[in-house]
Amino acid sequence: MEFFIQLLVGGLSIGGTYALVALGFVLIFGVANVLNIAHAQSIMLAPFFLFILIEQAKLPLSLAAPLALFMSVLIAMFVYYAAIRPFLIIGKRSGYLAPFITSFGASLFIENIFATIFGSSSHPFPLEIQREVWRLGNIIFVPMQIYSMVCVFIATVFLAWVVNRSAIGRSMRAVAENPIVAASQGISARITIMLTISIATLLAAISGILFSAANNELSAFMGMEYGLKGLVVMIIGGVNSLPGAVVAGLMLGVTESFAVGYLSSSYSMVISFGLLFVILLFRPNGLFASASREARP
Amino acid sequence: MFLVQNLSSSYGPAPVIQEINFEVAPGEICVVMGPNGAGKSTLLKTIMGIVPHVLSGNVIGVEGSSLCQMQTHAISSLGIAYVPEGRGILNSLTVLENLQLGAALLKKRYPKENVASNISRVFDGFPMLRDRTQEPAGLLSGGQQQMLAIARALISKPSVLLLDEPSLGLAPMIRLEVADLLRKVADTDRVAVLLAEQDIGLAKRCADKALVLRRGSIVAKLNPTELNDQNRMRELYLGSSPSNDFANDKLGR
Repeated sequence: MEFFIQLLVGGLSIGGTYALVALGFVLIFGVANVLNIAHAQSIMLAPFFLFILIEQAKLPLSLAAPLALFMSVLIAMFVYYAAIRPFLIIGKRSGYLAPFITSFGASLFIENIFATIFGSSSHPFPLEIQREVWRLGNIIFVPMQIYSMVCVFIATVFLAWVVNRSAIGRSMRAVAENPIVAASQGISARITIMLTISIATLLAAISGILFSAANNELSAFMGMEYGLKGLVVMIIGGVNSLPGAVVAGLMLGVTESFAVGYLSSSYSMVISFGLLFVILLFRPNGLFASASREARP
Repeated sequence: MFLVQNLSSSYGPAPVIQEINFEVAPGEICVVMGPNGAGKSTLLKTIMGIVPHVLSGNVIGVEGSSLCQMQTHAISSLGIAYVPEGRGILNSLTVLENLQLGAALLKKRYPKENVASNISRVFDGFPMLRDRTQEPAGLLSGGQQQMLAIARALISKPSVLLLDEPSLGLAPMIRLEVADLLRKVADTDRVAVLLAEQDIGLAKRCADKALVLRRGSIVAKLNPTELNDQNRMRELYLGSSPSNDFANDKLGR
């Protein structure tokens, strides 16, 4: 029983970070109408910038963390303008395909630059992480997992507030539904997309830092490896659904955690995609697909 | 005065509307008529900056600023409200959120305006919207959606109101309601209204003047008496050669 609870907590903790990544994919896909693969690299960029700022520039964490997030947002902006926006064809059925591939290219480009500079091996996370565990009876809690869950919870609540209650969120939903009508209400699609990418990147960056801290590892390839799980979560959740991404993220995290705990750690990817196949067999549009998109060709 | 001068535009190589000239005074309703494909919607979209290529000409807002070559969101921020074809409300947003979009535009132009009092003023004019503020706008009936789209446009206190086929898919009774509403808006708020419309009944009910478009050019400018002349309208719509001759005569070609 103790083991079960530990696995559950661990699963929810890692699942939360998957959910943050998936939320970003969903936001960008909904508002800018592009599956931005390069979004995955924010997961790797943020902890790497943190590493550079703390290890090389010797900045304190209070300065390094916001700066690392800001730099990640800048890179995401640059990628959007250089590798996605010029290739978006609005109103064409296959219009999303070219930017999908170019964003994939941008993603590999960033990954290779970091692999060249910092080597392809894994570095330790630059900060001292509390390694002592908390005990509640026979159950062991890893503090970082709890911190991570708290961060994910705050980020998710904040996002829900932004999307559903704020003027920015209203603009985002308006542009997502109909950019021309939104423009006729004085909403600039360009600014809204930039804000969306910023918010999405912040989520992925926070997720990347939490993940890196929890596992005490930092590698140039973590963005892709872990971004792929974000994509799986996005599809399981229903592609366009924010609550779906949260539920699917937690589900994937917990499933993986049990698989690793009771079977073997080498099953992690098999479980992600296995879960994807099983769920799509029974719910082809994902768990939370909106009714209007239910029809299949 | 809202002025359209010598306006031509296109989606591809060939111009869709050509050398359109007209003006709408504050408080005036101008109806753009013409058969399908005449360029009515394109004219409105060109004014709103939605058509990709403006070939020539200019659009001048009521305050005297040129709107040509501006982006759509900038044009709408200058007090040009646009109700697109097929309502153009945002289905996934609630009724209140749709209205808040218009209110945000108002706030941009008049920072001192009180949003809440303006929204409740609009509810006085559209009582059925008040009961359904928290519902997604997509759940409203067609007529209610049209009212919402007009209400959203009015909340921003525009100087010019462009409407693309507001009668589409509405029952005849409701069309006349829309016409009366527009008349009231033009009279009380001194808005210049430009209406692309196929429905002659609606046009006759509220128009101060009408333009007839054919293949992208204005073939006739009519006053309300001429609008009521059934033979004249039939000729213009069916495009028999005498009408074209007549129109060309009138335009001095």
